[in-house]
Order: sequence, then C-alpha cells, then structure tokens
Amino acid sequence: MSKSEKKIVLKSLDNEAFEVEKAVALQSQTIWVMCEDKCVGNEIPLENVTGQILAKVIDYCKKHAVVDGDGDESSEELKNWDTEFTKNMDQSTLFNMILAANYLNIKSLLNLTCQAVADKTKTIDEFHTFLNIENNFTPEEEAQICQENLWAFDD
Amino acid sequence: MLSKARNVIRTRHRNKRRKIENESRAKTSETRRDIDEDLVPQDLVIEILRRLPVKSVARFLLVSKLWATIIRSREFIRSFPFQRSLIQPYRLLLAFKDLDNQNLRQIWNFFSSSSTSERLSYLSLTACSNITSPYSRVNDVLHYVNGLINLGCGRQQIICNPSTGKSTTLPKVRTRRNFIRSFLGSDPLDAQYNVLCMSQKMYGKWRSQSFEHQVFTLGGVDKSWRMIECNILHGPVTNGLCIDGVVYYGALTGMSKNECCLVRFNVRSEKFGQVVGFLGDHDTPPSLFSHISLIRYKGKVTLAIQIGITRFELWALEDAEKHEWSKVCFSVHHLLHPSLRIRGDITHTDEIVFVVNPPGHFYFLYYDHQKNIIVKSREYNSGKELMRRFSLMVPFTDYVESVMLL
Repeated sequence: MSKSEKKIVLKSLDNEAFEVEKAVALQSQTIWVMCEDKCVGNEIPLENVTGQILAKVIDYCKKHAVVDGDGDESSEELKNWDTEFTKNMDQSTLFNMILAANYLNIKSLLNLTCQAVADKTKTIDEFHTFLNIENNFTPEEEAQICQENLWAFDD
Repeated sequence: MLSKARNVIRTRHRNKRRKIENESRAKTSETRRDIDEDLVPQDLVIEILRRLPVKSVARFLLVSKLWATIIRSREFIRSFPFQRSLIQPYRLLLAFKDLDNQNLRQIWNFFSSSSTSERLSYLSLTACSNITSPYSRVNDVLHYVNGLINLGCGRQQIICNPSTGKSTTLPKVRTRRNFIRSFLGSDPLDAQYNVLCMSQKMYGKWRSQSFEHQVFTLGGVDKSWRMIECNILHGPVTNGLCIDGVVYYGALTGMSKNECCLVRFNVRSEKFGQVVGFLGDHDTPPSLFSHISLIRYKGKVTLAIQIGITRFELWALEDAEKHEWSKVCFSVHHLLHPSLRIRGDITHTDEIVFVVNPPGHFYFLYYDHQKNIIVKSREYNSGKELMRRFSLMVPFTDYVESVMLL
C-alpha cells in the first residue's frame, strides 16, 4: 500500500479538512462502512460534525489507535487519559461530542462522553440549555410531578 | 415538603428567564452549535439517564414531556441502571417491619448498605394493611425481584419500589379465601413485572393445595387479574425466587401431598412446569421444608437446607428439562448461631451470605465454600437501635435500584 492510501481526509460541516491515518479513522464504524462500500473517495464529508468537535474526536481516536496497535500503554494509563480528556470539556462540547460519537458510531467514545455528562449535569436547566429543550409543562403539571415525587426534591 | 416543591417550581421559572438570556449570549459565540431537541435521539437520552442515580432520574422527569415519557418507557426501565463494572460493591436491602396497631397497618422501612460500608442508608417506607397468615413465615411472604418488593397482604397486594418509596395497590385478588400466596416475577427482556397469586385453604399446614391461580401485569393495559390454567396439583411451601424470567418455588405435590417438587412459572408465557428429583434420600421431605430457603447460588436456582445446627446442603438446579441437580454439603462452625439462615450469595465472589439474628440484634456472615471458612462478618452501627425500634428484619442480598413506578 502506498503512503497516500494509508491516509484519509475527513471534512467537517464547516469545511475544515483533517488528514488522518486510516487506522485512526476506521475506529468509527460509520467511516468504516463508507470505506468498505467504496462509495467515497479519499475524502469523506461529515455533515454532522463541526471542525472544533471533529478535532477532539480525532485526538481521541489517535490515542486509542496507538494503544490498540502497539499495546505498550496499560489500560490504566488509557483510563487516566480518558478522564483528563473529558475533565476540562464544558457541557456544550460534551453534548456535541455525544452526538458526534453517535453519528460516527464510536462506541467507547459514546460511553465515555455519556458518563461524563451524567457526572457533570446536576440541574434540569442544564439539560434545557445544552440540549435546547423547551420545558413544555404547565406550572400545574410541574406541581403534580413534584407532589408525586417529593422524596426526589427533599434536599 | 410542599413548600419545597413550590420553591422548586418558582426557581425553575426564574431559571427559565435566565436560560433565555444565556441563549442569546451563547448565539454570539462562534464555537457554539445549538442542538435541536428533535435531533437528539431518544436512545442517547437513555444512555445518559441510565448512568444517573434514581433520585436524579426522578428530578429529570421535569425536563420535558418527552423526557417524562422516555423515563417511564419500558425501554428505559429495562436498561436501568448502567453497570459501571461487574465488580460493583454488592448491596444489601433490609426491610424492617413496624406495627401501627391503631390503624391496623404494618409499615415497612427500607434500608440499604454496600458490602464495603458499616453504615445503613435509609431509603423509604411503605404501609400496608396488617393481614398476616398464621401458616406462612413472613420471610417467605415478602418478595423482592429486580428492584421491586411485593408486600403480600392477603387479598390486598401492594407492590413497592424501595428505592423511591412509591407503591401501587393492586385490585383485590379474585377469591373469597383469606390465605393468599403471591409471587413476583419479572421478565428482564421486556421489563415486564407480573404478580402470581393463588389461594389456599386455611387447614393442613403443609398439605393444602393451591387454587384460583391468577396473574396481574404491572403497568399493563388490562388492569385486572387474569385467571390462568395450572395443571399441577401443588401447594407452595417456600419463598419464591425469580431468575431470567422464571419464578421458582418449592411445593408439595402428589395425591397425599408428601412429594416435593420445584414449581417453575414462566412470566412471559404464563405456563407452569415442575422439576423433581432433588432431596435424595431424605425420608421426611415435608417437615424438611420448614428449613428450606430458595436462593440464587452461582447464578442457579438452589434449595438451601439446614440439616442440623451447623450442617447445610445446597441443591442447585443444573438442568430443569432433565431434572438434574448438583449437591454440595458443608458445615459452618460459628460460635453464635442461634438462628443461622442462608439468604443468598454474592454473585461475583460466590460467597454464601448468612444472616444471624439473635434477639435484638443481627449481623451477616460471608462464607467461602471453596476455602471452607467464614471470610468476614458484618455488623452495622445502627443495627441494635433498629432492632429495638422494629419488630422484624428481612434481608435481601441482591439489591439494585429500579426506576419502576416513577
């Protein structure tokens, strides 16, 4: 295989291009299927991911590709790297990472980011803000749910 | 409590205003990409919610109508909770009974504890009417399955979720008899919970046959009891156990009710079956049943029998179709064993859990059968005080939180 065949270009929603090793990109089941079907050339357009998020996804895939290939980093180190990776991400980025991991079908990244969101998100309004959800309950309906679940609101 | 709930709502409406301000600010930021609720697939919402404690899940009922529907869906109930790892600290559930004689009620208080802690955490309480049967041991009446407890109180059956304190009273069981046996079963594949009830006559402690078998499905469309066929003449005599969608209990069968069998009830198909061929050469099986508990041991349905003061036999069901059993015998030497009782095992270590219940006190022993030693004994700081307050304690070894009945 020539050098160019080992590389692949991923293009984000906002037209940012990333050249990455094929082994890195193929951790995404979505990209893997696209390559298998030969329905794309060397450049893969990803219509649902911004460049900012895609850069982070690629960081993650690079780290995990190296470890899976060489096996010289322990799983403990990888776990620590994962923790650091999500630690300083704000929730907005995390939610977008979840959507990207889901679209690209990278199971381990989806698990990691869902766990990080579950650990960080404490209030109802955070979900409203970051997922752009509208609260469509009337005050009466809200009162009824609170009344039925007083134990959950007692601290 | 009420004012607290009102405060929550008031804060939330204030926050809504703040949210709108935040949003307009966020739109000016370049990196920010707004997510449309419709674009977030429901399975992603489930992926996030199943990683939260049940209390947070209950609060997030208020996120939106769609979220409330997701949280109450079978799919979410089935997927909850997410197991971070298979060697999670295992948890005990303790049910303490209190009598409210004035109102003729019994009140069950639930506590939980992880195996690594000496503290008991209070969970919730549920009240039910005070009907008990002279012929059933209370340990056998309370049924715990996949996060729910069945408080079998005669014709009034109450199912409660000890994690949340929420309960539901089922319609009256269709019988005139007061002696009702009930078993709770769940089918893990579609998160369906069924209550199986049957009536027994009040005479003949061990030899009374069961009649009027009926089933109620929790959260089902049909909100009534369905009478079902049972072609096995039997009278249940042990506690029930539910594994992989099948309810098991020990029963006496045969014309003179002196043969033992294990009854299997498939929660999904609602069909009965029986397994025989255990207990070997014990010559008086019926009386033996008073010393039998049904437990899960190494993932298998197992009859745990106390033979002498310190001797135990475990009969594990290997193959139900072929009526194949394996048998393990052992003796536990422990100085204080006024009432040593096997309650179950810890799935990932295969340790057998005993509860020791001397008057006004209780503690647990963890026995490693391979090494033939008691690995550890566990007392709780508040144990003695709780036993002073409550009349009875029933432990369960495989407590998991459930989001049923939210």
